[in-house]
Amino acid sequence: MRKIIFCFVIFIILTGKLMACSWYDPDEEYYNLFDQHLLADKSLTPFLLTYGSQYYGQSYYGDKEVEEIDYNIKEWSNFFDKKIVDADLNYLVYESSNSELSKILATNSFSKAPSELQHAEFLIGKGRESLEYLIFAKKCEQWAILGQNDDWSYNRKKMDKPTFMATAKIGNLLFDKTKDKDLKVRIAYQLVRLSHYAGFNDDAVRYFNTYMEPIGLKNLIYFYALEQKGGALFNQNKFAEAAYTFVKVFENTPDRKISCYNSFRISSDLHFSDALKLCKTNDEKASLYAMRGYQNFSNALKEMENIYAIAPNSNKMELLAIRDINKAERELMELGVNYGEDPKFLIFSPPLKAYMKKMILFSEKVISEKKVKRLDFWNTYLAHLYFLNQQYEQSQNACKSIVTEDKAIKEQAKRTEFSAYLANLKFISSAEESLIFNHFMNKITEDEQQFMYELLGHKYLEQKDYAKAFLCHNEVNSLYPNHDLKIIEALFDFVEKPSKNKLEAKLLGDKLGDEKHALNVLNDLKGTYFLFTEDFIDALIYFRKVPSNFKILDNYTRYNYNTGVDEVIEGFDGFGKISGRIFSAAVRSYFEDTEENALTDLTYKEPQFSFIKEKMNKLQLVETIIKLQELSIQKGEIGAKANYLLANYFFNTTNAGYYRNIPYYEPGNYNIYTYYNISPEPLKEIEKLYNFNGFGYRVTPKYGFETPFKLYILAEELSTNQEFKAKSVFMAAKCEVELFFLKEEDTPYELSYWGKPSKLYSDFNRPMFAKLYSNYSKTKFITEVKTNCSYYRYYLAAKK
Amino acid sequence: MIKNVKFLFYFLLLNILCFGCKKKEATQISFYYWNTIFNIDKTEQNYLDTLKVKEVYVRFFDIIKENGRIKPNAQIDFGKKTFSPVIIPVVFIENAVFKNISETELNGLIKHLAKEVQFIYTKTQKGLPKEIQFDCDWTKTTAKAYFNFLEKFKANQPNILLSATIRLHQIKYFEQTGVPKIDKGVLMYYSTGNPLDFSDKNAILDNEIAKNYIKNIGNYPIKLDIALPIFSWAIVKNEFDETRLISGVKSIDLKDTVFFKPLEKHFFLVKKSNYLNGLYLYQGQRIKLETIEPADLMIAVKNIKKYYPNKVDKIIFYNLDGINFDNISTTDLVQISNSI
Repeated sequence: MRKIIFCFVIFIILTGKLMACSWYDPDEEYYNLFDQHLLADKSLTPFLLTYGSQYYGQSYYGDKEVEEIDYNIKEWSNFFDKKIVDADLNYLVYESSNSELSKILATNSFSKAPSELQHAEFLIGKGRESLEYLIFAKKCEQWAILGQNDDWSYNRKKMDKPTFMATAKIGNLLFDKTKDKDLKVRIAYQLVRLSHYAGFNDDAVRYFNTYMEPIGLKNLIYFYALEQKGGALFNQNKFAEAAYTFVKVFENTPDRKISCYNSFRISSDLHFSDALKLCKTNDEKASLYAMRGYQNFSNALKEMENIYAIAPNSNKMELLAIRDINKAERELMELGVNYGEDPKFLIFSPPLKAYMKKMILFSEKVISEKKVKRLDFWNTYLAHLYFLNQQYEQSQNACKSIVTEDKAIKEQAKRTEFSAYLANLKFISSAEESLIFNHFMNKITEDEQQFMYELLGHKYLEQKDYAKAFLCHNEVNSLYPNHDLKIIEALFDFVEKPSKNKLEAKLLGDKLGDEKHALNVLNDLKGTYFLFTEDFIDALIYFRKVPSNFKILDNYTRYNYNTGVDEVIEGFDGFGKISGRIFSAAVRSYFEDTEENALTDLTYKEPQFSFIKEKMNKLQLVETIIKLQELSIQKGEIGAKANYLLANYFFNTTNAGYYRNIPYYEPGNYNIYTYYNISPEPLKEIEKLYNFNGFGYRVTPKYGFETPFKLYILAEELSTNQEFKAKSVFMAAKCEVELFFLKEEDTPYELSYWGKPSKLYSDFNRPMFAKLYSNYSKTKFITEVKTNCSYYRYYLAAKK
Repeated sequence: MIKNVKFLFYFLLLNILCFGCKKKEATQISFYYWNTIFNIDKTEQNYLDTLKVKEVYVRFFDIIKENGRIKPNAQIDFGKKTFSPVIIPVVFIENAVFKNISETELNGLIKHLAKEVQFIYTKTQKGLPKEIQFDCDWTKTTAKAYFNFLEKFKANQPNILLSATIRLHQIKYFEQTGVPKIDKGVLMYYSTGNPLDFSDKNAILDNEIAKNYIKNIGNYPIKLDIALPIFSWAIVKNEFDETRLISGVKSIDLKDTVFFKPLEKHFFLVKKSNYLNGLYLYQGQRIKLETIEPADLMIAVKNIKKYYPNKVDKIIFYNLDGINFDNISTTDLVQISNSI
């Protein structure tokens, strides 16, 4: 129900792209190359483009870019000729009580007052009047903040007319009595505000017109009061007048711009044109157009054209221009370019392309007519538009011709020029790499750096320089979830290449470390590739090149549910410390359990398998596997058990196995973040990627339950021992259930929490359970199965 | 004698045929009212009178979470108006309110909410409301907290009938999404798509999509009224592929060819910049109009009747606003409610 209004409210205010989740900042999701802070009028900073919060500088993470100044205190400071420090003024205005102030007035002495109020200024002339004013202001304050803390209307105090009249009367008398003009302005402000917040809009307007205006002082407080009048006008349905009023306050206050923009609500052509008619100057008209142009959905270019026609030097022009180019950057240079079917980077949609052309034409006109003051800004702006529009040579030429003393504009021009140069390169040879390296060594922004890698990675991939393309974005651990042989071999060639240039040396040093270490890493990776394609002879070749003490991973901590303590576990270190239990099994094992509890079968410890070490590195693992394979062709119990142990190894290194971390180079088997990235869809071929950014998220799922299944069945056939046979069949059943779920497209309703899994526990789908039941029900092992395997119990129940 | 028996027989048969069948009680018609300022104009009053509407479901306020604080928002302003149909308060609660809500916050919410409803209710009605309805698009993670809220609210107000809105996906997947313990539900038979997709499907109500959500409605464990849409809106797309929703736009609003050019079905081009229902549109932007015709609602009730075995006591049309009546007459509404 609420969805309709929810949509209306949210989508009227925000863009369709805004996603204000606490973990996601849309302002970090693109490469920002055009510096929004080139804006000349810094007071407009809150209106720079942001999708991460309502106004620029108000990020959810608390770091504010806009400095908060209390302009009210600044006014008080000037009022007292800067003779009183801000801390004391703060106390005077916000914290002092009426009784403290009244006492000073009554006794004409501040000796018993808090130290902050001990100023001679308060005892004479305008100082005394200021205390009288503040007593009145604090009386009004309680009504002004009504509703701010009382969310619930049933709880809310409301100012009735008699209370309002009585309070206003005090103000009227004080206004007549007070001589100082600044204070009269403040009293008038309180009366306007009081009236507005109490809902007496006619009185608010009247007070402004008859009390405030005749004073003739248009300081900051005057405009604060004018804002209140704007609110009252709006409540009187005088929308055009209200809008015009808010525009005036916006222009004349440093700290009310956001609230004025929030209050600016024009909803018809008639009201807008009426508001325009009220404007006395072209600058005011320009501000009106700008207010309409600030809205995220607006066509900023159209409003710039409106403004340029009447007030070409309006400070709003740059703001709207910067917002527009920032929007274009968000469209063209989004992070995560590889996500989605059809990656687009620096490619416009047709409507945006047409809009970009108009932006360029307009900017060219602005420059050629020379009506604007900051031509250097507009030249830089145009150069960047050319870059975004893929007019790279034009962009570079435009940058070269910019004449400026402004440091920020110079930096921008350099950034745009190099970006255009890089984007325009058809091929990257050593000559280009030299220039690119030099640019990296300049003081460039993080966004520019990453943008350069984004483009470089793409161009290297296009010219089939896979190693450099990979290293633009990745360290070697990006290959751990997916041991891509093409890239591994390309990296070998790259590392072994003699006489690397500076950029190549940088890529190697930044991402792979020194050559020796890099080669160890790559040999281990290539060996691992062959290990998991079951080419054990090839795996041996590469593992033999890795030092026996080679390691990649550190120890990890695991929470012990029994002791309630985090324990440091010496797990798999990337190459070594692989437990001999990789050849073990159990009826039921939990990933969180210790190895000893999770894998209890001790077949691997029998004397004929004494070559299986307690802890192995990958080389020793492969040697052990090869030995077991040799034994597995024997008949009888040795052959059976060798097959069984091999099956255990294969099962334990699948995604369902206790050692599932080993293929992915993870130290422990739970909280494997790699698993979050397993895609059910086949991975795109690497040649079809834009570049290798995010390569580490390409995860090859490790299933392969067919191999252990076959070996368990073979083990059963070769053995004559009923207990051992039962064990083998049970382990085959474990493979069987994994294969079952891999076949099913979605988890069917019957297998869901609310369903009855009759399909899963049929003989048709669980022939291994059927075999256990029919052939091995009398074994001791089956008791363990019935105790520890709920699936088998459900199967038995389904048979009844 | 035989003639008399024959006469008696036919007389009795005639009576049975005329009066033997129980007269079907008509489905009640009701409306939702969703504006923040309560103001029923002549057209709206006319509809209420003609359709003999007894109850109107009025949104009293929203409950939102802002800067970590749970608070009411946009309380309705009744002014000094009186109103004769019975008002049933509706409170919309953002799903985010129930994320990680503590027991203290929940109890506080119930307490404040009940008082707020009562405070607003007495501005135009006497006594206590006979029914209160909650509208919340709960999810799996908030279901427990929301259901807990409903149960506690009911325990706190045992004499008030408690109803809540149920969305289409909460019917189809009710075993996963859960079923709140309430006296009655209202199936929101609309919002079948995301309007911002700007596709050729009608996001308000696509009957082909909607009917797939109610095939198991017969298994839904609580009694349901049905809410049907009579509103329209437009979606605007700009050069940056950004979209905006403008509520209350009708086809007549886009008829002026000075400002709009019709393109393919339901799509228009802005020919000249202008304001449309409060949003300034620029030349060149594209608009998609989504409306609901009486024929769409007839198909909807036909589908509901096919799958929902229980009698529907009430249809609540969203929403009571004169701009929604250009397209749909009182006769249409009667026909729709009689067809369910």
